Amino acid sequence: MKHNHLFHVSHLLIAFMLIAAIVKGQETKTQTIFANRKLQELSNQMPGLNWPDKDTIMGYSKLLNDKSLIIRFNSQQEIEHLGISLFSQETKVMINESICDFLERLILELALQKTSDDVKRKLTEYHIYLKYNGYNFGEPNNSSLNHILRELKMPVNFTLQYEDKLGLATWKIDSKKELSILFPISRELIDGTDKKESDSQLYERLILSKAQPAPGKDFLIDENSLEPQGKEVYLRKGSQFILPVLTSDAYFTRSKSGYTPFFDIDQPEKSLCTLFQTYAQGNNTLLRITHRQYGYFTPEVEIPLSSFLSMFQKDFEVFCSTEKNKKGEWQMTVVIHHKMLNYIHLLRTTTTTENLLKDPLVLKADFYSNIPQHYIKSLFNTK
Amino acid sequence: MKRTLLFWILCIPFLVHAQLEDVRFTISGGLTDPHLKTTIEENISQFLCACNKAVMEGSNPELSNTIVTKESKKLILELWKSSPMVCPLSKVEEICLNTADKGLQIRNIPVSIMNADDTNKQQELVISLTNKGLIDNVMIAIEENKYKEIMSEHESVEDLYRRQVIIDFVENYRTSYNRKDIKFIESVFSDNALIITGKVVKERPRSDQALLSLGKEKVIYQKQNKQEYVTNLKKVFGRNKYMNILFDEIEVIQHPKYPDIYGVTLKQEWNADTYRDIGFIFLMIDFQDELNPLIQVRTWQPEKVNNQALARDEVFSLGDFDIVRSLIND
Repeated sequence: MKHNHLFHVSHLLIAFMLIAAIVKGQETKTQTIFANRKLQELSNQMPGLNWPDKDTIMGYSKLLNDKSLIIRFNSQQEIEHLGISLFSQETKVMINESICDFLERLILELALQKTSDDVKRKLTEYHIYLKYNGYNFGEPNNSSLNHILRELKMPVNFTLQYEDKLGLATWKIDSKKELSILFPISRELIDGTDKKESDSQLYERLILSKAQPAPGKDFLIDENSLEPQGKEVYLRKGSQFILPVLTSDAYFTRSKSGYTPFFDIDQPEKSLCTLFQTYAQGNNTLLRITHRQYGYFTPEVEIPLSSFLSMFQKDFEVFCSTEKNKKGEWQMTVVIHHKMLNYIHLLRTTTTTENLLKDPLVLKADFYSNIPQHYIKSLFNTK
Repeated sequence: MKRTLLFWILCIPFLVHAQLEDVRFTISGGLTDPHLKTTIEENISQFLCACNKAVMEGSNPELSNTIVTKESKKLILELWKSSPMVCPLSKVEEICLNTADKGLQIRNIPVSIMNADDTNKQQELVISLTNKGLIDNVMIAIEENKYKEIMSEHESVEDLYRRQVIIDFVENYRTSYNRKDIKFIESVFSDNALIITGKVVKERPRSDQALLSLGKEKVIYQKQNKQEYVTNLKKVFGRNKYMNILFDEIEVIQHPKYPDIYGVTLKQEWNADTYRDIGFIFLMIDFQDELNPLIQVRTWQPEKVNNQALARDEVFSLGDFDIVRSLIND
């Protein structure tokens, strides 16, 4: 009897575990992960949607019949983009992928708003002007988002212009109809990620780039652009960031085989700045980075300088300044500036002349990332 | 910008001999009303031509009331005293932007300031217009980075680094509100922090002054300590599922006596499910421990009272607070 009772209990337990496993399996199957809070918030407004598990363009009941939802995954199987499909992938690459993704996500976010007043509120919050035939959204001739979306049929004449801190996207529907979106250019709005998320994504990219093969020769020398700076030393004049001493200048020496980046331990200022302007010497230089992320999270990573620089090859400009600190060490400040979105990454490293002789050269660096510049009115002031 | 620079390189050698007065301005986008577009194109073309003519004749620009507002005419002539300018291009094309006050704006019009030194000679104009297309204001829009270069020629890289770390701190601080990260917020406020929150209230009219004070707004300031502030903030976070706090117009000021103390003033837009407001924030931040800065003072004031913008000198700043060393060293 006792045995019988135990038998029943064990059967019940097995049955319970089986059910739990099936339920868990189903949960795992349907669990969709979003790469950032913004996308998670959008998905919360789309209950009942059967989320796919790979890149998909599909219809969605809350959208107009001729409009499709675009869903794209990253390598970690997280949804990294969600929007109303407006551009082909080829067009995005040609125009600007992040701006096109932003416009698709924005239109979806607006389409998911319950009322026209909610759409207006969102536009005000984001400082965006949505104009149809010259009328701002909310004005009598432009108060229905569905009406605008219905007009937006492909193919359509699309242009994107940038002016200072603003971007202007224009769809010329025909000779009489035009839709335009004027938006502020800020990293958070365009990328849809906040500082914590973007810091974390950058760190993941640092880890991935560590293992990437170092890029080859990256500099092309136009002899006419070089200014002689003493015996066989030439300056390729760059631009400057805020201060005249923080520049993208690079120095070269001329040998029989042509020009090579300058490196001379007797002239550390020129040598260290040039290190950050070409990949040529980066394979023998390691950056030991402390990444000072949001929330006092400070992971460390060691990465070849060339791999580090190659991460910022597109869209960024690198500015350096080297000077002696109070301890007599060489202190280098590096600003990596995103030219369009106007934010910076900031790196500070300190080394000694003796250390410069070592092979590989290891530079310990503090690294702050995703620092906005667009909202600064005045950086320098003493009162 | 590159495009503009190229134009300059091409044009400067011909400045002296070119027909400076002929400038044709056209709008390339941003405006669909054809009548308004033509009006603005005409007005700006005429304005630029008048500037060029005035420089050549050594006089003031002749500005008709059909192209500029009365107020802007005064402003332009005032600007002219210090900065006579020419537009060296025969054709300028720019887009038209809408401004928050329902006006219009044209940016990036290249001009040469005649009495500026070589490094600051090439500038860009911002022209604000009324919704009827009349010129309402003309400003020299020095490119942001260029402006900072001019203003900070004597600043050091060390100082720039410190101030960018401050901006990083401010951005983290903003992000913590959007994430409702109360732990982070608790960690950045000093235990002795002084928190002042302004509240706009309507004054109750007294019978004898009813007409004068009816509905008049005033700001009541409430002092809180860290614990009270955090407790109240938790309630606010609980009430709102969605938060989007935006910052703008950030100014970083170093204390003249205590170089590790910085004042940051900024404009804050608070967007939440239940509430939206705009105000000015002042933060006094102690950077003695650069890796763990602490907020010693935080104030909030409304952007507008009685529909009037709060004057910038009314916004709290470093000079409004006495610094006691023992407090800072906590």
